Amino acid sequence: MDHEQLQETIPLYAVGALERQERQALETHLLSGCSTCPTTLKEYRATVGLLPYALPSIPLPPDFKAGLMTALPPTTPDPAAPKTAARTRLEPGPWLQHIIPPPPSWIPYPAVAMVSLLLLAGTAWYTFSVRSQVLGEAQQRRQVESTLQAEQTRITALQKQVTGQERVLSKLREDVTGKIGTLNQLRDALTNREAELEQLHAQLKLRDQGSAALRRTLAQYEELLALLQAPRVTVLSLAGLERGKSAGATLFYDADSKKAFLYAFNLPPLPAGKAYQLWAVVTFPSQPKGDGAPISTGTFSTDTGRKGLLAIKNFPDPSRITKLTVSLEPEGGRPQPTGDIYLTGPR
Amino acid sequence: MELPPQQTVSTIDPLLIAKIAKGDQQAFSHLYDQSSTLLFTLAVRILGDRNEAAALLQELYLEIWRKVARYDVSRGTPIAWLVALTRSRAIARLPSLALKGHGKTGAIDDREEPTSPDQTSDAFETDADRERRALVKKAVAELPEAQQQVLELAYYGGLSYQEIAARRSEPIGTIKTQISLGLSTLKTALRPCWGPS
Repeated sequence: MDHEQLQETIPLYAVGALERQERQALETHLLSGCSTCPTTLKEYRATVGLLPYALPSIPLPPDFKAGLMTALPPTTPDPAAPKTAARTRLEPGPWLQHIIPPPPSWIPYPAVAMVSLLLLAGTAWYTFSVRSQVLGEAQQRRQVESTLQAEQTRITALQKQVTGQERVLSKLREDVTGKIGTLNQLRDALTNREAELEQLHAQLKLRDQGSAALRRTLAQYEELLALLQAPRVTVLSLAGLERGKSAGATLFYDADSKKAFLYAFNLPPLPAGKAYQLWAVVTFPSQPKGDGAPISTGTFSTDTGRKGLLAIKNFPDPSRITKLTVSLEPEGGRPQPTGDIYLTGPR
Repeated sequence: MELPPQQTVSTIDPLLIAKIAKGDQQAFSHLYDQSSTLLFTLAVRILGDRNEAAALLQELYLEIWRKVARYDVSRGTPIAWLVALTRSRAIARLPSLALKGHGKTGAIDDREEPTSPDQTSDAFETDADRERRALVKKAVAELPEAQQQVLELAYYGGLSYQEIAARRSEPIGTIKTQISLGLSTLKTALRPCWGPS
C-alpha cells in the first residue's frame, strides 16, 4: 500500500475495524517515522475514546470498590515497565497490546510466542527494508541536489561570461561605429580633395593653354622683331573705317624672305565665332591696275589689349598690291570678303 | 492525597498515575472513583453482562495497579488509556463468552439500558463531565443511522469491516466509507473534548 492508502486505513485502525494484515502494515508504517500519520491517528484515537460518553452511565455496585481495594497486592517493580513513565516516541509496547488484544486463554502460549516472534522478525525485516530504501533515496536526493548546485554554479559562471562577452561586443560595436564614422569623414574629405584636384587640373589646363598662347605671341613678336631688323623692309599702313575709326594696322614686308607681318591695334573686340581676315588686291601685269580680286592672306584674332598679330609667308610683292582690307568674317575665314570692312590701305 | 472538587474524569492528572506506580493506594482510590463508572458502562456495553463486566474490571484494576508504570503520557490522557485498555480486554473476552453462549455481539439493539434513572447518576461526575457527555451524545445522534450502526459494531462489537459487511450484507467499500465518514464527522465535532494530550 502506498502512503495515501495507509492514511485511509487510520480511522478503521482507530476504531478497531481493520483486518490483521492491514493493521500490521499500518503499524509498520507508523514505526517507519512517518511525520503525519501518527498525528492523524492520535486525533482519531482521541475521538474514539470519547464514544463511551454517549452510553447511559451504569455505576458499579457500591461494595465493588471495597473488595477491589482489599485485593490489591503489595506493589512490586514491573519488569516490563520502562524506568521513566513518559515515553516520547511511538514504539511497540502496551499500545500495541491495546490494539492487538492478547490471545484468549484457550490458545497455547508457546504458539502465541512463536507467532509473535515471527511477526516481530517480519516487522523488523520490513522496517529494515524501508529504512534502507529511505536512506538510499536520501543519498540519491543529496546527489541530485549536489549535481543541481554544481549546474547552478556553472550556469552562473556562464552567465557572467556571457555578460562579459556582451560588454566586449558592445564596446567593439561602438568602436566599429566610430571607425565607420571616421571612414565616412575620410571619404567625404577624399571626395572634396578629388573635386579640388579636378579644379586644379582645370586651372592648370587653362594656364597651360594661356602659356601656349603667350608662347605663340612671344614667338610672333620675336618673328616681328627679326623681320624689323632685316635690311629691306617695306612698311604699309592701314586706317580704320566707320566701324573702327580709332583702329589701325601696320604691315611689315621683307623682300628677301617674302614674309610679311601685320600688327593691328584698337580693333573692336571680336564677337563669338568671328575672326578678322586680311585681304590683298594684287594687280598682275596682264591686267589693268585695280581690277584684281581680293586674295585672303590669313585670319587673326585680338588679345585683351585689342591688338592683333598675323605672320604671312610668301606675301605678294607690295609694288603690285593696290589695296589691303581687313573684314569681319566667320571663324576660319571665307574665300571672298562677306563681312563689314574695318581697316583699309595703304594710305 | 486530595483532589480538587471539580477534577473531571477527562482531566485525570497524569501525576496520579505516577503516584499509583509508587504504590499509593489513595491515589489508586481516586483513580477508581473518577473512572470506574465510565469503564464499567463500556464493559457492560461490550460484554452485555454486568457480572462479566464486573469481573473484567476487577482484573483490569488489578492489572492497572501492577502495570500502571507502562502508561505513556505522550500517547494520550489517562482516561483515554483506561478506555482503550478496557475495550481491548472486553473485546478479547467476547469469543470465550460466545462459546459459553451468553455473550453479546455488540449489535445496537443488544445494549443493556440502565434499569432506573438513578443508575445514570455518578457522584464523581462534574458539570464539565456532564457537558462532555451531552456533547458526545448529540454528535453521535446526529450521525446517519447507518454510520452509527457500523461504528458501534466496530467499536463495541470488535468486528472488522469485512465482518460488518458480511453481517449487514453490504459491500466492503460501503462499510469502510461509512466508518471513515462517521469518525471524520465526530473528530470535527468533538475536537473541543479531546482534552490535554
